[in-house]
Amino acid sequence: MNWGIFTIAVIISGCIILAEQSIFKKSPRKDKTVFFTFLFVGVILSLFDLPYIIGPVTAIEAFFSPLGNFMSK
Amino acid sequence: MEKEKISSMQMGMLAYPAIVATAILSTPGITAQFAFQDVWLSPIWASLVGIITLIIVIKLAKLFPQQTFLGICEKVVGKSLGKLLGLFYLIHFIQATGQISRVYAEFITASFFTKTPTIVMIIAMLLLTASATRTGVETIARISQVFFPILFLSIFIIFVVLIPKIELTNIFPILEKGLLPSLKGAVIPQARFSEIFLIIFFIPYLKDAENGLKWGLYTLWLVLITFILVNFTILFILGQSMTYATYPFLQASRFVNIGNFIENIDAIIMAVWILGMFTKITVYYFVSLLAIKDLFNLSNYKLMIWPIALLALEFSFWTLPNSMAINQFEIMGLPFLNFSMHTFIPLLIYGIAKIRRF
Repeated sequence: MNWGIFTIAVIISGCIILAEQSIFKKSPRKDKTVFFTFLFVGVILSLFDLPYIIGPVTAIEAFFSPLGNFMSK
Repeated sequence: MEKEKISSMQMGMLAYPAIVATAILSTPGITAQFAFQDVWLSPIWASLVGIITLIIVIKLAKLFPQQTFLGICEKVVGKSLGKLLGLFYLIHFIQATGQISRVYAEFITASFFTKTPTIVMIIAMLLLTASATRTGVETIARISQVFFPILFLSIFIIFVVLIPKIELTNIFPILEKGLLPSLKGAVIPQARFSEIFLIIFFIPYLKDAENGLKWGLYTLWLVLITFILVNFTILFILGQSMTYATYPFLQASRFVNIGNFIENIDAIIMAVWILGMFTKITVYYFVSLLAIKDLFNLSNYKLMIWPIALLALEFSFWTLPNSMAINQFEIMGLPFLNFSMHTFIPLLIYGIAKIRRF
């Protein structure tokens, strides 16, 4: 858990919400839900030490490992 | 129907930097590790993937006019599978935006701004590209129209001024170990050529869609010429040592010396490359926004610009602790991922569409 980066991500998210107020007010409910979901995912991800945990890159390399191994030969 | 319109030529000029920008610096070095002195042959094989991808894209666009790719997927394979596929594409585009921003930042901090943290470079680039995407596709197309000649001519001029230094014998022996090394080397640049797929997201914006194939092919030809020029440059200037260089084209450009007066033009490479990378990241960023708009049927993508920037920033570091890991990913994962997402799945979608007689 990296609380320093998490705090920064929360502040940035707050700034984004404030900056997008004009578009936000005019947007339908669905847009607002997707906006908050993605922002929430972004904030939650900031809690982790991302460079050292498994993620999409690990999944891609594992999925294509037979082909990848052919390249490394 | 999209309100904003661009021409097919502008679309080609968008696609050119989107393919070439990452390809001119690190790709030739990685290709050379497999193809050695046959490095110049690899882009020729790789371009076949680009041509196939372009044909699939144009055929899909003709079969489903004025529809976005994710919309086509939903129509062809059904709503739930189409949405799942759309989610994969969205994650892929956000991940690509992040990863390309990271490649850009790693190059800048390794070669020029050695004391600047990588994250500062990524944030600066994402802020810039986010502002560009906010202005819409017409502005992005016009920006690329300005940047395209600068990018293409600079690479060409660098090759010309390096002519006095070239060592033609570096090309021999041709096909010393048969075709396999150059074919293996082609796996890396084919990932770049397959990026021509991204034009499918811009086709609904075209005012002259009938010229899409023509300009797509022109773009691929120019990309191929650029690839071959860059690979010849590094082969003729660096010889076998090109396999050890992370950024061989940059290293080769340091050999420029005209009358002991014009030297150190590697700074030009950096400037030109930043223009190219800016366009590339903007294209991927914009495509991510279009994908999210389609996937969730949003009324406008503009609200999603900053959340995507935050995610792209996080994806740029996710499981990529250093440039070694990025290099590893560019060899072991990216070529196959790009081929699957940009060529194989669209081909599958087209095949299913034909079987289901759309």
